[in-house]
Amino acid sequence: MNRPIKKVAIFCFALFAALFLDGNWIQVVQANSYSAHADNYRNTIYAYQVDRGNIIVGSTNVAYSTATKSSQMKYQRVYSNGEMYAPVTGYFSSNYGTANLEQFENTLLNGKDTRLATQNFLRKAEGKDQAGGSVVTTINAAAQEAAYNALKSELSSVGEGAVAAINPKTGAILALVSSPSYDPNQLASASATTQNNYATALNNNTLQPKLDKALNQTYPPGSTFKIITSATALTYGFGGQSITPTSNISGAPPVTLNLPGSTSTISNSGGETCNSLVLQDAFAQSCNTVYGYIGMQVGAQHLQSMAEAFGFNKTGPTVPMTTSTSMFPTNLSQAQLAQSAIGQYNVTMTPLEGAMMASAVANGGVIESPYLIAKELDTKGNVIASATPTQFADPISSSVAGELATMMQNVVTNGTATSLNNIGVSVAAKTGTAERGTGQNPVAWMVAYAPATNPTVAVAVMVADNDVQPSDAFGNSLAGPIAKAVIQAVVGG
Amino acid sequence: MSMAASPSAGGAITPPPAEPVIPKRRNAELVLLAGAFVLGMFAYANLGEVRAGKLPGNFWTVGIGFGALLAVAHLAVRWLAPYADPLILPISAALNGIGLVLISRLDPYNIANGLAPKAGAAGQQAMFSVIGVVVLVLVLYFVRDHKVLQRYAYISALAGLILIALPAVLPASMSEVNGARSWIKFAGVSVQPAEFAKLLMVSFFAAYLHAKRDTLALASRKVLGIWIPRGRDMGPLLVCWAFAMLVLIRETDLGVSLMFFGVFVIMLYLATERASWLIFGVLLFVAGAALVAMTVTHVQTRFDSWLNPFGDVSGNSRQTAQSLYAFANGGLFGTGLDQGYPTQVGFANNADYIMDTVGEEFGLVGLTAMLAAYGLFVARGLKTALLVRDPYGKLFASGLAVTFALQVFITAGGVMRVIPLTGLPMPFLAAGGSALLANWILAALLLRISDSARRPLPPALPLTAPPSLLDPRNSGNTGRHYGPDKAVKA
Repeated sequence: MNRPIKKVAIFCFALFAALFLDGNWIQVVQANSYSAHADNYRNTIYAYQVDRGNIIVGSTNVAYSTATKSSQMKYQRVYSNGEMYAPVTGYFSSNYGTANLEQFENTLLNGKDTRLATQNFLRKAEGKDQAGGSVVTTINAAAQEAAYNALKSELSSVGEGAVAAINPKTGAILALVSSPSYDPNQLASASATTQNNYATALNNNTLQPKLDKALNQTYPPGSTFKIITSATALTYGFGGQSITPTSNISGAPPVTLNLPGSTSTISNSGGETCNSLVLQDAFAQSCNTVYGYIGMQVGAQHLQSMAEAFGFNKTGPTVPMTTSTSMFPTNLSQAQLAQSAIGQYNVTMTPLEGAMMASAVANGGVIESPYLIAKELDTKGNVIASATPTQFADPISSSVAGELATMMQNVVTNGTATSLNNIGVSVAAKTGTAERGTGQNPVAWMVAYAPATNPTVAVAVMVADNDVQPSDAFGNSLAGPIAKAVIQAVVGG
Repeated sequence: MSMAASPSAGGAITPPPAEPVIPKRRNAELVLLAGAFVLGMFAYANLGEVRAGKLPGNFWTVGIGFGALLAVAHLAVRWLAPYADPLILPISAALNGIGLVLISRLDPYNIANGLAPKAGAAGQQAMFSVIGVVVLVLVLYFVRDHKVLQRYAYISALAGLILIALPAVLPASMSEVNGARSWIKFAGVSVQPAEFAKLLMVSFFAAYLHAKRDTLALASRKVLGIWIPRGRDMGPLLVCWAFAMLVLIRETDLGVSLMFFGVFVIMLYLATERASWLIFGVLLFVAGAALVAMTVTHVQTRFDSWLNPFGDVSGNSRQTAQSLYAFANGGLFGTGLDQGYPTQVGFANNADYIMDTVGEEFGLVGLTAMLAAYGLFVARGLKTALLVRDPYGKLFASGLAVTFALQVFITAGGVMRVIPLTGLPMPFLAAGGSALLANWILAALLLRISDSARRPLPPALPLTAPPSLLDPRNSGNTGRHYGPDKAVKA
């Protein structure tokens, strides 16, 4: 009977070999993949055992970790000025995960970044907890504070708004505000009940406080889109003629633009008559009839390609947060084309795209990629990476940019952006008041840059508030003062 | 000169070649037992250091108790089974000790979550470890020769069948734990009857197959190179298969079913040396299990979570997924005792899922060591089967070893997703008195058989034996003196 016993012994050995091989498979080969599963609670536990790095604005830590007395959740995340900086920091929550820089810089902040491997190996040898690196943002504290306070004081309880400000020469994001905001401290609370109650309240709020409206929500741009329509006309001309800011658009109707193939018409704000059909005057007064006409003249193909050169219909830049795609519609009828040319119909953009639009004009036609991280630091605060500006798009020539710059300054000195005139610094701007559905107030926009001669800030302000008098719901009156506050904070005017 | 060429001259008998002196290896066992003791106590000290930065409060009491227990076991073997295999006892002791540490490591969570009694499961387990060793001594004392168990074959079979079938006929409230009806719960005591039944059934299989092996092996026809047994000889196989399927359907316990049928088929093969039995057995079981898996929900969900462990992570496949996360988190070297989160798996974390803690906290290194210990135990069991002289002993020893191997594979393979999760306790490690007791009995039986396997034979009687050797009064003489003695000369 010994022969079959030996064979059975081999069989038993095979059983154990199978277990051993499987152990290698699940503990080594597949380990990282299994460990990354979202429902693996160990990730949360371990995340709270790390001395997570700071998120820094200027020299202030707007997000940092403090040691607790608990053995499992060893560190508590704290946000100074949480609501103001929430669109930048995001949150770090045991039950609700991470968002914004807390999410996109997670491996640096939690110390798993390979660049921190040596430091953390030594820390482990010393018996210290794993530590994370820090992130220095590009945010200008004064600009952020000005934008946040101005927006918050202006909005009613049902209003939403956002501000995006960038340095046009580098793309560095100077202010990133979304309102209403939320307090990340509540989501990072050591108490699960606090977290749950707060998250439920946020989710029940129809204004979606957790949504970063500056980066991840699109709105109809309205007249601010006339910057792109102007750029198309100045670049391509139409009717066999080249166009300059002083060209007289003689074919355009001053009061009502009839749309071909449609019973609807385009008129100017408040039914006004367009004072002058000269391009820069029509731009300053924001004449819809003229710009609807120009849109049909330059044609859908040119308008679309210009919009796309500015970043529409392209995946938004990663700052490192992903941003929504601004949309310019395709397969347009003539009537839809005319409406798209004045930023209506299905044209939508993010506030960030508004700031990028202004920065193209401010920066000689080139859009630098917006970015939020100036420097990355190791666990000891040494710089391990610094941002280098990269070009995002080159939509217009420098001469067209120069012409648009003149036209946008004219909007401030002689046109609709009166709130930015005589504020101690020369500003170039474009207002926008985009119609939404019936019963909703328009979206009020201000897209601007300053100083006009040597720009250091390009800003887009968006306000959508149903609780203001419709007669006050204009880009200049609602968004203008906020843009002014941001510009003055950056330029010091 | 011529005298030397004729050995028969003068009537001198050539002495038989001296048998090699078989060492008892009891001192080796003692050294290994000391190793098992140190291993367990070191792990327990480690647990205290990690928890509170000092030795556990009852460290020295536990140390003295554990040491005394191992000493008793060792002395009993020295006395009752001096030739027994020297590895079986140390491996059992090491596994039992590590199991105790793991259970007390998991206790705080289990107490807090109502998965263990208020006082913890470790105390109970310690008590059953003591009982286990006592039972080991009793088995060694009363079963002086494993062959006597042959006489009780049919009683064993009856008792075994009743034990297996009992949970199926009891109301679910007295037999169901987490979906499988494989328990007997009565007056606050839970018993897994299959743990004892496995010993009884292996004992019966060994006796039965020993008696019928020739019929089963020889009365068959060869078709296409395979020996096909006669129809009527298929009977036992079919009965056993039907019983396994019944267990599977009524008790929804794939593990018990697989273990019993597996060991029966393998023993059938051992007895007959006909691979055709293996083929028939495997085909029957796979077909039956597949059919049951398609119809019985409990078995079906286990199959589903095996095939797709991350499909329903908050529902049916939660435990399989959590089990894999534990192993993944352990990686190569593990997190260290009490520094992982194997309790995430929840229910049965100290029984069927106890290998999660091994994998997570001791890493692949610790898992491998643990598998090696189990493998060595099986190897010693099969070695005993090779050495023992009587066919019944061979069948019995290999049956016990194979049962043990199958249980380890089914349990560890289930939590490691080699096979669908089936729900058997991990031998010696898992919390559970009945399982621990049964495994100590299994170890005792293997010790008994190995003692008889390695014990030297009494001297062969020469054909022309002197009257003194044939004298019944001298029959108790098993002295190892074979040399020609005065009686021959005389």
